Amino acid sequence: MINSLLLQLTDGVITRNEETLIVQVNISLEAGEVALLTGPNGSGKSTLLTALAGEKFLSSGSLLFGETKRSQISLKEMSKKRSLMLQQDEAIDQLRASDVLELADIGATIPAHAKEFISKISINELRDKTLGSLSIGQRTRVFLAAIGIQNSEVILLDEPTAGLDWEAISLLSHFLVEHTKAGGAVLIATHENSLRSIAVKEFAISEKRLKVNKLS
Amino acid sequence: MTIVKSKVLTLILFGFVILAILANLTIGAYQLSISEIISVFTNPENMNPIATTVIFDIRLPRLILGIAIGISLAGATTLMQSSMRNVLADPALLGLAAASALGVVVALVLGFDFGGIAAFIFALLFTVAAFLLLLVGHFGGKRASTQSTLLIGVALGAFFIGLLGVLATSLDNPQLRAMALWSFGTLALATQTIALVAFATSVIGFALVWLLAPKMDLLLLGERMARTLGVETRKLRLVSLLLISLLVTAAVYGAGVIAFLGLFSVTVARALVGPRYRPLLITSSLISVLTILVCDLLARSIAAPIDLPIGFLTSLIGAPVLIFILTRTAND
Repeated sequence: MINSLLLQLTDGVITRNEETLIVQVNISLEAGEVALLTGPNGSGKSTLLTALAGEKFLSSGSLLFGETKRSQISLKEMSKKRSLMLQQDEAIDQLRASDVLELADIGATIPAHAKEFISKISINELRDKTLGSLSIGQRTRVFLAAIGIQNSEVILLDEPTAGLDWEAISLLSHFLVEHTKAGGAVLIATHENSLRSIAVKEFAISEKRLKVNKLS
Repeated sequence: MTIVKSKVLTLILFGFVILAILANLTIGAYQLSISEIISVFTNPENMNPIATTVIFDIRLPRLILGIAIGISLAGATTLMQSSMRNVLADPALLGLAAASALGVVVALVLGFDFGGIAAFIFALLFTVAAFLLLLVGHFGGKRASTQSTLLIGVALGAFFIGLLGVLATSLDNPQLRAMALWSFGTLALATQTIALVAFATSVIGFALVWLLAPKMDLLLLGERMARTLGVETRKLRLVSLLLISLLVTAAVYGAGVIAFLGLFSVTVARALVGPRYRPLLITSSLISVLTILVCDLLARSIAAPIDLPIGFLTSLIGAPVLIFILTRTAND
């Protein structure tokens, strides 16, 4: 199963603002896997997710997408390899939800399960509203729909369930499972247990190190 | 705003712009009727030579320069506000226009002509340099805040205007003396060459901003998300910097610093059509052109025959708008 490795970071050192947050990071995500990333506040979960997306914070280590080094992949190609949703987006408040969905459409072919997720999670009443007028949960719904539209192989999510109601969490969990069945992989940084049941492994940050636990 | 409504808005604004163009061509110390203006173009041999001179040497250059400034300041401000993520960014407020004007004055001190290509190039180089200084101030600090960047820009602008004033008034040269008043913004020095250079530059610059629009739209989602969606944001910022400088130069090199025009028109346009680039560019440039043409008509009418610097009038309109935005954002 050599070809099923979608993302692999070997001997990574995660640094932010000249402070080393995590060392000896070894993470691999295979097609079909949902994994969790856990750890106390400030342990560097979001920073690690951003580093895994190939954006900054990786001061040493080798990051591969498939069998190709990150440095050899253009940003445009990267958009098909991975998507990243951080807890706080930086979008300007005057954008409407429909603008976000439109802008996230970079020409990916969207499979049926993703289409269903997109239409259900970004409920119609939201579309014409500006981001500034949405609640945290509604805003998260919009950006989760954008992740569905981008339809990258690896999906990296930072506390995606914050502010979501049960309906949205179950939609998300169903979508992520379908995504992995279709050959994708998912890594979720979370404090909650609501997505634990779909995960096969857990990367736990503790004292600047990463441990891998198998989940059943 | 729905698509239909924004089309209606565009048409209404366009109608007002046409009216303003006709008003600017007909009204003045030498009154002309619309039929006279038409016959200047269709039947030039039979026209009164004074009318021909008034149209071709005075009013048309002034009109075309005004339109060029309207287009370029709207384009530059739109681009500046989103690339700096600051709805208060404006080329005049952040010192770029002052740098451009300083470039023109330096070219004059070195013996080049007002309105010539050398003046244009100096203006462009000074604008790029000022922009780089502003960015060093913005990213140089540990954590760049919107307010501090704004204040750095205001300080840079004051410094450039001070330097410009010293240069323009200390040397015994009447052309340079005139620059002190010119720096407050006026269309009075428009010539055919200045109008054509400014117009060509602003149209090219605006067209390039239009082409960048889809990528700039992605930047509205934030730098991180734009990058994960495949946009080379650093390249985009560099291109924006050059385009903003080009557009600011187009606006300033003939007419000096016209304050608040960009901020005013982009703010009003964003409230009407939202932040997406293409609708914002169209609406803000129409508002900007309309505003400058109305202000210029006022500038040469209210104290005729004295030609007031138009920058005074745009400040009178723009400053209250700035105060309005500031108090509103403070309340949020």
